[in-house]
Amino acid sequence: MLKFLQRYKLRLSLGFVLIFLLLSLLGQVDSKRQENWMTSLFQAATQPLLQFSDYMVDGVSSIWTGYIWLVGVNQENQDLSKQLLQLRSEAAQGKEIYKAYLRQRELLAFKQKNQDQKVFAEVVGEIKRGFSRLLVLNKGANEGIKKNFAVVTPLGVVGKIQSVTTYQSVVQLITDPNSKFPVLVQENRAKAMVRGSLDGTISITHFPRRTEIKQGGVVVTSGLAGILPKGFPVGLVSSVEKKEFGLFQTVTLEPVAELDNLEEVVVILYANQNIHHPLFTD
Amino acid sequence: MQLASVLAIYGLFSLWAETYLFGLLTWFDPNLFLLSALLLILHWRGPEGYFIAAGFGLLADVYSSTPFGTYALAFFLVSFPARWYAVKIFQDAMVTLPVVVGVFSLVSNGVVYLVLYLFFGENRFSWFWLNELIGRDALPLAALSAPLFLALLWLEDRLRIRLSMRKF
Repeated sequence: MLKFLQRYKLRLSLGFVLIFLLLSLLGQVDSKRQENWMTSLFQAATQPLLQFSDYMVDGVSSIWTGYIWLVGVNQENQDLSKQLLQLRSEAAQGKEIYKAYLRQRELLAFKQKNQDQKVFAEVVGEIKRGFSRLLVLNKGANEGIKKNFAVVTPLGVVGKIQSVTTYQSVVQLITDPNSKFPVLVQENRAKAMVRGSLDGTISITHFPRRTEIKQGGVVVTSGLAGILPKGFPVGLVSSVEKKEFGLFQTVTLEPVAELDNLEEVVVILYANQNIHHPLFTD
Repeated sequence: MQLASVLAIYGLFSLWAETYLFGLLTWFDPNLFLLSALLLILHWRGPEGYFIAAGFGLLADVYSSTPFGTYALAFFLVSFPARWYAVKIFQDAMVTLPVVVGVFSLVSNGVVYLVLYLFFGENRFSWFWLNELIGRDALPLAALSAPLFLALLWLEDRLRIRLSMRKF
């Protein structure tokens, strides 16, 4: 037996690895992806690396903008003086807009008296690969973040928490090919399911053909899956594809949150207006 | 010990570049885990390459939204033709390295798609996606292959090991 093991140790090892990986995938057929100790371990281990990189890049960019960039400052100063005159007239106009903004903000603050509990987090990493679009945040379980919590910006939905370690969390963007969540068309309240795609867009693939949907229409979260709270803007309808035959039409959306240049995001810990949020945390 | 250093350096660099460095560049999404695994397989040529590929695949799976093990399985399967190529044809030919890496990158993504198709019903293939894959993944990976291969040779000198002669 020992001889047999020694003789075929390479083949046996290869077979073991293959079976282990196949079983691991088979175990996730229903759940799509399960986090495990290995993901937590490596994500926790890379957290200081990412934090340090972020810190270093900030330091280098401040040296660049503060010192090296000043080489052409004299010419720039002259140009700016010319611009100043023009900007003064615009500033007078801007003041009016600012006052209107302050009034609107007061109204908004009143409207948002029952605020959701949230955590502000910084984006310290971003992963874009053929089959994944993820963000890494610098806040984790120690701030109360759990799996499947919603991640948003003031503009709209960004994604949901995929995995959490003590000081870091990974966000699955709404444009991720594996992302899927229910939405409502704001205008006619039609329910649908939005999916990320391999080419980085989001779309509704099975939208009833007879339900009207216009270009530029707003799509918001429905809150039905118990993950993303209700009413957050997801995207604007950018195109509607209706084939000659078939029960459905395909609607492509333009995400309202600027997913390509996110620096800070908000993780919603508890949505006050949502009675069941989120249902599926670990 | 020196061997562990090489693997750790490549593993850490891949993790850092994938999660941080390439996130800053919007037009550039190479899979550095695959490149590291490929370079080690091509240069080392030993059967250890299969396990290294699976290991780097698992690292790729840590920061991925696909089911855990998808990349590991794909890299593991790709490591067989890669090692065959390394033993029979490659012989450290730097000129052909970018082409080889580009081709294996596409093959690996194809295997990932196939695994997702077979196990999870993924069927959203599009030509646009394939174009993106070539432009953002395969070509940058091919471009990066030569400097990283030279870095591997430099590391060998520094750490006084010879992977291809299995002296470490």
